[in-house]
Amino acid sequence: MASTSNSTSSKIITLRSSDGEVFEVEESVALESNLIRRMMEDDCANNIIPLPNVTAPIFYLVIEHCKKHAEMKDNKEKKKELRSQGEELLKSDPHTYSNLMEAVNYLDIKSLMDLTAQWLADFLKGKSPRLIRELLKIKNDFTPEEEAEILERNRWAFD
Amino acid sequence: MGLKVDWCGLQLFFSLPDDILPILSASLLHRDLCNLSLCCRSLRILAFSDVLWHIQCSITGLLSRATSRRPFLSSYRALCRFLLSARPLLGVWVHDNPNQGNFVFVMLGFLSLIACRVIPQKVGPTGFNGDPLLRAPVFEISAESDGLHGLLPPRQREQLRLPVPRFCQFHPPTLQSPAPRGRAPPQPPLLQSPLPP
Repeated sequence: MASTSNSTSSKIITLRSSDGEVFEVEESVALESNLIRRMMEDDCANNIIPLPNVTAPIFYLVIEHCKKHAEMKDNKEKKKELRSQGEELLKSDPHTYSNLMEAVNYLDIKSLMDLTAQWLADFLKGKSPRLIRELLKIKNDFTPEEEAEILERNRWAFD
Repeated sequence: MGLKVDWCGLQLFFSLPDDILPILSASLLHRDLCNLSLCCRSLRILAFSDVLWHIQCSITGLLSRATSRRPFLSSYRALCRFLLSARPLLGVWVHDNPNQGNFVFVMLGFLSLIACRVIPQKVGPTGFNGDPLLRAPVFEISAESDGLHGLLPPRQREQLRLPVPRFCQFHPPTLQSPAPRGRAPPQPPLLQSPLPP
C-alpha cells in the first residue's frame, strides 16, 4: 500500500467509476487527485464520490500508478522501471494510454501528468516519422510534394 | 475505411491536455518535433505550434534576450532556429596569436549576430581602469523574418560547417577601422563561450 500514509493515516474513501464499479481507496492516495481534494474540501464527498468521466479499468490503472509513484519517491530503481513502462504501453496499446492521460487530466493528478507526458516524450524521442506512423497507426496523408517541402523546411534541424 | 485505425493514433495527440504540451516539449529535441511534423497533416500543425517551440526556445537559454524579437519573426519555430544557429558562435574566440588583436567576442544583436574584435591596448596593473574597451566590428549577420535561410548566407554557412569557426574567414585581421558604428553595446560576452583549440 502507499507508504505516504502518516498523519492522515488510513481513512478510506469510496469512489465510483462511470460504469458503476466501486473502489475503496486510502485517503492519502485519493488526495493525489486535486479534483477529489477539492470535492472533499467542499464537503461534498461524505458518501461515494462519483467519477463520471473515468471507466473502471482506467481508474484501476490510475490508482495503481498513484501507488507506484508514492512508493518510488526515494527509489531510483522503481523510478526507472515506472518510466520504462510507458514506452511498452504506448507501443502495445496507445488507446489505453490516451484514456489514461485523459483520466489523469480530469482527476488533476500532477505527478501522473508529468509521468504520462514523460512517457510520450520518451516514446517520440529519436523516432523517425515512419516509425511513429507505424506504431501509432497514423496514415500518411501528405502528397509527395508536400512531404518534400516539409523535409526541406526541416533540413536545418538535421544539418 | 482505414479511418478507425487512423483515429486511434491521432486521437492520442488531439486529446493531449494543454498542460502536457510544455512538459512534452521540454523533454524533446527540436529534431523530434521536426520528425513529428512529418507524420501527417494534423501532426504538422501540432508540431509547428508556438506552444511547443516556445519551450524549445527557452531550452536554448537565450530566450530572455530574444523575447522582444519574437514579433519580428514569423513564429517561435523561426526564433528557435535563429537561436540554435546563433548559439554555437556566441562567446569569446581567440586566434592562435592573441597579441595581434585576434580576440573576438560574439553576441546576440537585434535578430542578428554581432562579432567585435577587441583592439590591443595598454592594460594597467589594475586592468582597464574603467576606460572603454577599443573594439572594431568584424561582422553582423541578420536573421530572415521567416528564419528560412537561417543565419548565414550560403557561402559562409558552408565555411561554418567546420566544428570550430575561424573568425578570420569572415574578415582578414586588419586594425584600421576602430569605428564601432554604434551597433555593438559593450556587453560582456555571454557564458558558455567555446574557445577554439
